[in-house]
Amino acid sequence: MALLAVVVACGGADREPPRTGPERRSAPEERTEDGSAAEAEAREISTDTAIADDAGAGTPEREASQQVVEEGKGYLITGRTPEAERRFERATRIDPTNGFAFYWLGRSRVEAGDSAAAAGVLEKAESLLGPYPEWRDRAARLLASVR
Amino acid sequence: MARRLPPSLRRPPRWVLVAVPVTLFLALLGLAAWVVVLERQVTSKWEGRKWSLPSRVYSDAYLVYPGRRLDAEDFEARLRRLGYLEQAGGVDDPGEYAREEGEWLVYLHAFHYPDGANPPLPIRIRMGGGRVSALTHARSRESLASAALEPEVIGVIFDQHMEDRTPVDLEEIPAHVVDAILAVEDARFYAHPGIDPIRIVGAALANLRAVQTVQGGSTITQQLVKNYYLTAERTYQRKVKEALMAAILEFKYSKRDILEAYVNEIYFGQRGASSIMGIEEAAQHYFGKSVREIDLAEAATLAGLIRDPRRYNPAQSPESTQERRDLVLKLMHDQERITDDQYARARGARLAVRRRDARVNDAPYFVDYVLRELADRYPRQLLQSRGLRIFTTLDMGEQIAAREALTKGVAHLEEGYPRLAKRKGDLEGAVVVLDPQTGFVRAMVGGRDYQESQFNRAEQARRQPGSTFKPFVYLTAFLTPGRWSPATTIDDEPFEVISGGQTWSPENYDRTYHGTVSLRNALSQSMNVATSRLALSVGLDRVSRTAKEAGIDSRLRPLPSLALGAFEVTPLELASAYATLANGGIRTQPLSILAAVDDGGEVVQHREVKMDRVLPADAVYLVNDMLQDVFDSGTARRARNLGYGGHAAGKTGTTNDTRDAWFVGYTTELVALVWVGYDDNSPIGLHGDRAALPIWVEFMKGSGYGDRSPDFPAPRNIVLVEVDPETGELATPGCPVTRFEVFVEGTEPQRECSLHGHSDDGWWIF
Repeated sequence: MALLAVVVACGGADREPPRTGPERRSAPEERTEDGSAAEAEAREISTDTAIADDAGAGTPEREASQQVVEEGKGYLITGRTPEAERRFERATRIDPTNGFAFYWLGRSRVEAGDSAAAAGVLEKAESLLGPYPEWRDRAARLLASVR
Repeated sequence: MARRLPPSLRRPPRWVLVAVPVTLFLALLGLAAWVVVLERQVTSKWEGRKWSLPSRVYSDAYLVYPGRRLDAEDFEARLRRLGYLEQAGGVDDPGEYAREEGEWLVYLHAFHYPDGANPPLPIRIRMGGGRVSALTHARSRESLASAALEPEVIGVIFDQHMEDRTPVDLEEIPAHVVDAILAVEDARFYAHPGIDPIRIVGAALANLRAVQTVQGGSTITQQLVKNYYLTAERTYQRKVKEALMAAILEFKYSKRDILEAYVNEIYFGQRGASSIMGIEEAAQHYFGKSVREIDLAEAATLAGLIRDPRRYNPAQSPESTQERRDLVLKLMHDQERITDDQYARARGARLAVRRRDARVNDAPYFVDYVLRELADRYPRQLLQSRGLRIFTTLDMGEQIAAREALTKGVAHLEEGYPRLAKRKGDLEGAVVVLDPQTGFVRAMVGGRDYQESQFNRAEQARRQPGSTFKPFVYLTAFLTPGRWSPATTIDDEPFEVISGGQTWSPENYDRTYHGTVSLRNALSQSMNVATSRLALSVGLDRVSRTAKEAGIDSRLRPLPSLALGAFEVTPLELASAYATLANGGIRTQPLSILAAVDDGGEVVQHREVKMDRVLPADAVYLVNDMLQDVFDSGTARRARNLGYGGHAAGKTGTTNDTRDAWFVGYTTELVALVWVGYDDNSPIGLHGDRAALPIWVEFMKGSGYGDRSPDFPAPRNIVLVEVDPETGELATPGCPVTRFEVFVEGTEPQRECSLHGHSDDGWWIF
């Protein structure tokens, strides 16, 4: 939960599309009590991929979808997983090309203990997050963990 | 001297002295026994489930968000079906909308979704280029990510009494609604014990004066007893029973409980064959909103209806309704329930009835399908009484477009082809629309007339898919890396194969053969021979496996005729398999039910989107790309003449002797399948492009998808290479015709065109 708290508190690490620039090192994948791993995860945004690869980035649908993703994360942080899941589902419907929406939907299902239902969604997330390698890898790792 | 008294003054005989008290005692005993019996009757019905509540099936909510395409006509139709009333200038109350220059103002109703209640919300939708350019709160101007126009009721499952009722707690009902009812029906409700002698005497005097019945003496408690426990017969015995039960009710239960039962029990008129029962259902019916949102004038209108819902029906006799409403307001004012100012304003209010333009018969096949899906856990009998709210995936706009496209399209075929007209009314069809991203069943039409036939051809009919199966043959080929590509050539010349001891020899439908052709051409022109040869080459078992992975659950036998769709599937499963193509190889399970909520608001069933990657995105992309040619140069090119301007992929299908005509067309946003044929398998004499394609085009235009051009996203390992279409090899300057072909990276041709010479530098474009 601390992990999520910091991700949400950071304003949603996946809200902004990646920008060109120097690549950052990824922090280790460890959860700690003080949330430092979460901060690291929040920083774990790829910055080395052009936005143009993601057809949906920058469109009004993507913006709206991302806002709904943020609402869902707000629910997730307070432990209201079913509500969070509904928001993420809505986000995927607003913009079916939004890989982040699928990622968070998969993650909320993992939180809810429904690994079987999470797997397919994470596969979809992985296929859409190509322009965001770090997030694609994160989806892949989560997918591997539920399998 | 004692005088004898006259007989009339003598003491009554001894037996009389005994008989009278005994009779009285027995009468009292009988009365007491009757009271006990009545008390049990009152209690047993009261303590259990008070009403048998119909279950309701809802469509999906309509999401509004920046970037969404929004067709003005479709949107307004949705608002009207939900009972929204157009206002000039602005919106003040829930259930109102206004159109201004380039924007919509909508005051959304409150709605209780499975995941919680949405309060009323005034929104402003700014439009630009046919899309929502901004969505804001109409008052605070705060920008909103999304808003939902509430779901529409698409079906109600009644028991034999056909009573439509939505119970509400008394605390949820505004005070002015309760006051209006009390003022006109029982002003001394809180002062009497169930029977009101003062009211009875007053009513009797009023009736004597008028020489007719102008006023009733029944209290609210008596009315409740009459409606809830007794029949409408007019006998003294029934009146006595009613009075006794009213007294028992008052003795056993609180005034609050009695009033709550009354407002939920009372009859407010008819909606077709069903009765409108209770204040919430009445508010929804007459004003298109919840009783929680009812104003004073509307409350007085509803209270006035109770006496005689037919006579005071605002839709039929607005003058009588207004007179009655004003009488209720006067009574409220006289009884000091409202102020002078409230009275004046309410009397001046326009009688604005907002009947919902509900269309509960637009999706009967879909509702049946949903009920079958629920049948294991919720048999129909349970649904008739437990008041479930079933939230589904149906899009009402798309459903109406699909239904109209099918009914008009089939009738048009009968008009245009005399041989079909000979069996007028028998030609049938089905439409299935799926959202490939989620598996949502967005529309389902199982036949042209539900009244005539409830057989749901979309879900229950098993028909041969014909050529609509071919894409799965090509997809199987592309699963073999490096061996096959859209540019690979194959022979389209007759051949024979021995299968099961019999010779099988495929033919093209026009019996012309094309020699060496590319796989792209073979698919877009739907060549039977080339496709059969390909299927035998890649392996029938593998073709069968691919189709199953995509979503065809029916048995597929690995016979040569498999390639040409000579087995049976349901339209729904075929549409589902195509949805896997539209979704880039990720299979979503068809989903029709999102949630079911019981009458206590608890979610008793929740179904989620399920998806699995079953096929590689690159191979699927090649098929999608080839099937786009079907519209531009293939068997569905008529779609352009019929007015379809968007980019989509699709496939026509026709079975042996033209028994089935199919068209399946899809984008990344939807898969729409159309089937046309006879139930008894008689030939219709038309191919898919003549019988099914026009219906598909009408649906796409009617549902607002007519000119959309979404691209299928190309996986990162797809490359475009210029080739000679005759050889499938790299184009050279000597090639008379070239085209850019799609390949999975690493499988593109390496050799320059062997037919038209070589050049020093082939050119590749990534």
